[in-house]
Amino acid sequence: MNDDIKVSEVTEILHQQLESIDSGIQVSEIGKVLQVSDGVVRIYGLRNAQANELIEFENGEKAIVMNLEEDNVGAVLLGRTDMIKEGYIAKRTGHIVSIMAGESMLGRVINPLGEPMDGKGPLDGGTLYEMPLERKAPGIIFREPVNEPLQTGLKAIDAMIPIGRGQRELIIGDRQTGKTAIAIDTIINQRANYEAGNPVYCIYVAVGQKDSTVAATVQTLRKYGAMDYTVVVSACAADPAALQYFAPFAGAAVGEYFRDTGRHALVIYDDLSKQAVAYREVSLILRRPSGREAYPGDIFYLHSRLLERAAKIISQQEVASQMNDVPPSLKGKIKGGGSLTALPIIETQAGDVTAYIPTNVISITDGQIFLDTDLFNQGIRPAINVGISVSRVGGNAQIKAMKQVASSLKINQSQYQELEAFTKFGGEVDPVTALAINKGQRNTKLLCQKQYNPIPVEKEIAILYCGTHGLLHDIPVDKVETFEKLFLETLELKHKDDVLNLLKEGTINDSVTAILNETAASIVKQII
Amino acid sequence: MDVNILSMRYAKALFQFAAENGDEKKVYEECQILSMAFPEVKKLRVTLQSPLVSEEEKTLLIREACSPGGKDVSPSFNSFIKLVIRNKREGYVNSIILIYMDLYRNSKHIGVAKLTTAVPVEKHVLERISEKTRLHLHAAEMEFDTKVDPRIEGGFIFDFNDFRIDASVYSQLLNIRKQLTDRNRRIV
Repeated sequence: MNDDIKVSEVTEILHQQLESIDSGIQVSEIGKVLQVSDGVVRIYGLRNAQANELIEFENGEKAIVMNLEEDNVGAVLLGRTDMIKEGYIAKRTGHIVSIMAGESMLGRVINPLGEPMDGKGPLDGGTLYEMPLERKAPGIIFREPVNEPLQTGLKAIDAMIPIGRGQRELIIGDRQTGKTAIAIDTIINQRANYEAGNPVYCIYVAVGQKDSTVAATVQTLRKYGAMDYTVVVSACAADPAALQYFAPFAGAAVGEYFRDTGRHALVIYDDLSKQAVAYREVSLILRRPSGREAYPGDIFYLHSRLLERAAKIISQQEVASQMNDVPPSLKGKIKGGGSLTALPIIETQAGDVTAYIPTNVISITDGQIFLDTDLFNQGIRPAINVGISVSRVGGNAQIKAMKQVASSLKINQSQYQELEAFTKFGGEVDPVTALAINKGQRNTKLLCQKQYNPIPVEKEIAILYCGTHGLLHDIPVDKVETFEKLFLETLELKHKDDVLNLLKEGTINDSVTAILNETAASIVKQII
Repeated sequence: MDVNILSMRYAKALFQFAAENGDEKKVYEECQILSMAFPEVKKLRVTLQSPLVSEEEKTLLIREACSPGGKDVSPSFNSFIKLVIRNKREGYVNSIILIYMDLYRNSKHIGVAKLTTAVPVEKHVLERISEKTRLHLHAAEMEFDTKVDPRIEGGFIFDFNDFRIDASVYSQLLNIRKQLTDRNRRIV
């Protein structure tokens, strides 16, 4: 035993804990296990069980009620199937499946039931609030239009597909195209908000991933100081399908805790394709009728009710305080002005966005960021296909300076991608097309960004100004990266107050543009 | 097909048929024996569902499980077994008989209780508990079962209808252990 631990203190702690132990005897409703197979258990009895209620077996294993029938209930196991035997007694707990959410969750890795998985002991320090996993989304009158930006720190996204707080923006693409990288960079970029005392709390939900992948992600977040304001909810590939199905709901419940207490939160569902597969598995074992691609009929509702919970809550306190379906633990604690932004991720097969789940989620969300394998392989990273990526509501949330600078960028880049395809066949091009291609090539290079390297919005605006105003015309394409580095260094050293701080506030005036032009010209000279 | 709907239909039909034949009590007793056989003999369900086992063998198996030698099986239950096997619903037998037992108990106002203790309980105490339970459940008669299980260390577990009062020392110790480990779980 460690020398620093005093035996008397340990005894005192144990004494206190023993005093607070609840050893009351209660009457519980019981049922008998009729059948158990493939993670689903059928229990005879439990006549008063509620949908989504947590039930417990005599050996401590748990399950969630999914099918309510006249004399029996179908429940999905949260543990191993071989631990449950026919004839076992199942007991109602009276709890609808929920998660205890609070500040002490920050920096922790938990499972969908809120149990810590990182070996750092129980969640302590601070009150925990019981948040139901299934909850109705806020109604229309409790919402506000998306009008505040959520900076991802990625030039391509903040300029062309801006995301607002409360928005649901889908990240979609094949495997190995950088979907998770965008999400992780966005989390890392919230560090500045955290340091400024206006944090955007992040919840990263890993569904059906390898434990090693989740561990690597947590390590990365920790390395960049992002775990201070992040909660990781993990249901790995080896976990039962029920846990994988509930993981995004657990993430949403934690996010709602921050949202409803007037804070801003960002939840990333990585990924919903795997959740859909887990739900399909559960539904098929429960013998629910299957539809297209063997998914159950309510697969759309599964995703729509999850994503609908992302919202910007109205700032008027008197209205917000009357929000619908507030959990009892949060009664009287609701604050307006909070938001929950959702970044669901969907993995496509061979770039097919017309498959069942991708089309469903595309139609639910407020836009999508489509990642292209070809672009990724060409070295354009983030590999965003500008042509089919869109943000339906984020434009209103963009800061003024960014809007001014980048308004033409998306359409120019889309045109460039089409023109480039034409010029690949050879032949001469007219000067206007040549100019568009020249600009497009440089802007494409300019929008490339290294992983784990999100940049502040003021720097994004400054560098994009150079791209959209043709200041890179004379620079060879391979020197664009050098230009960007020198340009931003110069601004940081010489023009922090008169340029960067103004841009951060969203102001771009003649004096700022003059300095930007002048600085760019001097760097261009230096490079050439 | 939905296990519940199917089982309920078969159970209701059996109940009506047995009532018409006047042997619903006998069928009830046979169901009780068979329902105990399912958790005790794990392979029973698998065997009944196996396509390699013939219909005759399955009939004999269920009859044997209900009464030794399969001779004293009531005519109603015998017909039921044949029907279930002919319709290839052997997999639902367990569920059907459980529902039948419930239907029978409801019609006769029978309460079910089971007391599990670590040491045997005196007869007059059991009678008092049974009577109290009967009054509490508003039952006409009680099926009172007792079990001595030294593993529960002390106290008692009392099951009545669909409810349980677990006042065993074993469960309370488990509960204390769970609460203490939940508070102190930490990998050092």
